[in-house]
Amino acid sequence: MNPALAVVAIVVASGAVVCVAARTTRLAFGGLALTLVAASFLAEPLPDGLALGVRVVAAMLAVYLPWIVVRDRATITRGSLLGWPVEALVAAAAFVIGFGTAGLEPGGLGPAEAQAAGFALVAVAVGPIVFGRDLFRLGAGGILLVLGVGLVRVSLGGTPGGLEEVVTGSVLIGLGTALAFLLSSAAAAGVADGDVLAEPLPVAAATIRDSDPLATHSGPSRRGSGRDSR
Amino acid sequence: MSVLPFLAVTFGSAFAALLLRRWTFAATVVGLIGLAAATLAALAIGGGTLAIGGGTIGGSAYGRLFLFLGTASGFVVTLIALGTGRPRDLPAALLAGLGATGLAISLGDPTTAVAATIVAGSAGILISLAPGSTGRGIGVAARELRAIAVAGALVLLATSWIGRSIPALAEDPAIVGLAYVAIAIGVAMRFGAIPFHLWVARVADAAPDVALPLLTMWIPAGLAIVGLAWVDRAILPLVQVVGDLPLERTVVVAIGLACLVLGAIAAWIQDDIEHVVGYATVQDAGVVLLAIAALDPAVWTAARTWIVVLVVARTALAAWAAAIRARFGSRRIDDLSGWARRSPVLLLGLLAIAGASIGLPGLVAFEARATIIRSAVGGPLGTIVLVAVFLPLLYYGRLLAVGLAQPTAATAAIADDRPRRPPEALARSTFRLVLAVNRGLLVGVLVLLLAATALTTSAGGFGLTSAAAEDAPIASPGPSTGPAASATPSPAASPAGSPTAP
Repeated sequence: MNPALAVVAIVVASGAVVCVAARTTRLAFGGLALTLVAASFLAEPLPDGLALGVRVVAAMLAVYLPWIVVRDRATITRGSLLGWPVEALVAAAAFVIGFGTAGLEPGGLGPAEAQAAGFALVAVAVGPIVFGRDLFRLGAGGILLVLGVGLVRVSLGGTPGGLEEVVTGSVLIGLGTALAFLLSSAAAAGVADGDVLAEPLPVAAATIRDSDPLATHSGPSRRGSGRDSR
Repeated sequence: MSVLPFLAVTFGSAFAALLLRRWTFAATVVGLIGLAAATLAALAIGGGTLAIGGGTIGGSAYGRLFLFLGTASGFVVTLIALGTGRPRDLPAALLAGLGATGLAISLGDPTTAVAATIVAGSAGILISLAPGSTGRGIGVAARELRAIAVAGALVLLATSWIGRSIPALAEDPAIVGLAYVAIAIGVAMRFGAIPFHLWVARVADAAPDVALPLLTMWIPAGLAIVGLAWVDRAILPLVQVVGDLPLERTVVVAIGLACLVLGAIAAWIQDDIEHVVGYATVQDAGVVLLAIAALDPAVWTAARTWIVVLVVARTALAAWAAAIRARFGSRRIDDLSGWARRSPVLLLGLLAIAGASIGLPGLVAFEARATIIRSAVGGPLGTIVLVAVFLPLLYYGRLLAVGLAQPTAATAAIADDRPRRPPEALARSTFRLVLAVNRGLLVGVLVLLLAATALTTSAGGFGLTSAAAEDAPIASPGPSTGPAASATPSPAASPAGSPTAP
């Protein structure tokens, strides 16, 4: 086990938890940026400098494009209904499973830490993808899912080549651009919080959400509004 | 020449058109120029392979034909969009989507190729919304983004897992089966195959009609080409070691058959012509899934032939639907009574499209589809399933019956196909005005052009059969190093693994 890679893997998984659990725009984007940038370094040996640079720039661009659209708003997502401790536990469990199963199959050429982080990202992405009702959660979930699978691929196939890094960077930019476009369209259509797949929330959800320590409540309160009181 | 100039032209033009998107006219002009240049660049694609950054990019006759037809059709569809009033972002999305698809089908590494198809899907999001979309429309686009991510992740995982050496995989047949099903389901999701078909109807509702070819045909077709090549290169050689995956194949065959039969019936009972386009594509996608289910090198050429016929014919049908909507102001079939009497050009177009997509015994497209069905299903059931390929007669027949019926007052009020001069008062009018008063006719002629292209493709024109028989640039899985190596035939050496071996 490489301690430096383990730290990077933990950072990747932690960023993903913050991204899906936070309700504050700044915090959610910060978590996503942390995950995307740190994931670029999760390989052994590291990709060459140019490929690494492309990945880091692509990661930042993938976050910056949607950020441009929503940076003036305090909150754009309802965050996780389960709360960050549950998301963190899910990620931790998946992390351990990913790390533990990395050596079971022969033929893996990359670090086990990449698979651990990949499993964690996939596990954390399931909630937003299946139950996400706002654009940010759906988009971020999609990005985390693809990135997580990409990390599993690093664990199985080893350090990606330069061309693969460029295409992976393009995937991140493409998904980020699509998310930015949808957020922009939602804002133009007057859809509050990008809540385009709104469905009734369970009554208990409000209680769980209000206990979320990552929430700052600086945005407009939705408690008691027509949508949330359903 | 390599595929690189094509990529440079498509991505460069797409970027320029997106930068200019605030000025719709300028963006459209730049996009049209880009599409024309990309068509020329596609024609110049040669067969060489370039090593770049640890990977390879290879041109092929099949890639050349696919990209040529894609960009040329895209050019015509953009012109039709100009005539039907919805061109915004279309050329940019076409360029980016086809560029990424071109990259995907040219790459040697399958995992990277699948990633490129995700880029193509993301480009499609840009045109998944009609101007002035509401929250519901944006929700549909968000679901599209979700489908792209999930399908892409499934296929990425499958190709990564099978990307290891064959001996390592031969020890665990379940993994091979799961990877195979993951690829098939990923392709099914992107085509909106049954049971993932609901989003097709939603996309048809929310997206502009001229966006449907890129969203539901060309981009999913890119993933299908990559998936098919990977199945041929990676799964097929393993079948000899781990067995022929009967359960997994049954699942994929069931999905394919459901699409083939239910897709046609769904298209028949729809009232909205854009839904007809969506479900007609679902039906054709069923044949692609049957090709994946066949696990037979004999369907390699047939499957790739069918994919090209599918995208060209359905692009023409989508263009026809856009022309009808613009001409008669409605997408509801019940409102279109007598359309064919008012527009014989569009009638000819629909007949050609029907001929191209159904085909006749002896035509390349028909034979390709029959080969796939016989290989995937086989026996008497295969013969019965072959009858299902004529089910599109139901919806084409309905459209024709409605078109040839007595026109309603609203339909009769629509100008017919006769060429017109601008009014006398504007005798010294500009060329632009002449175009404006004959817009319906011109759009009809463009649809007819696409329909003729579809018919030519269906008959095996443009060198389709020989191009489809070519080897794919995608590489085989890692080298055999373990003890099972001797028992595992190399895909390149094995007749079963050779894509060109019938």
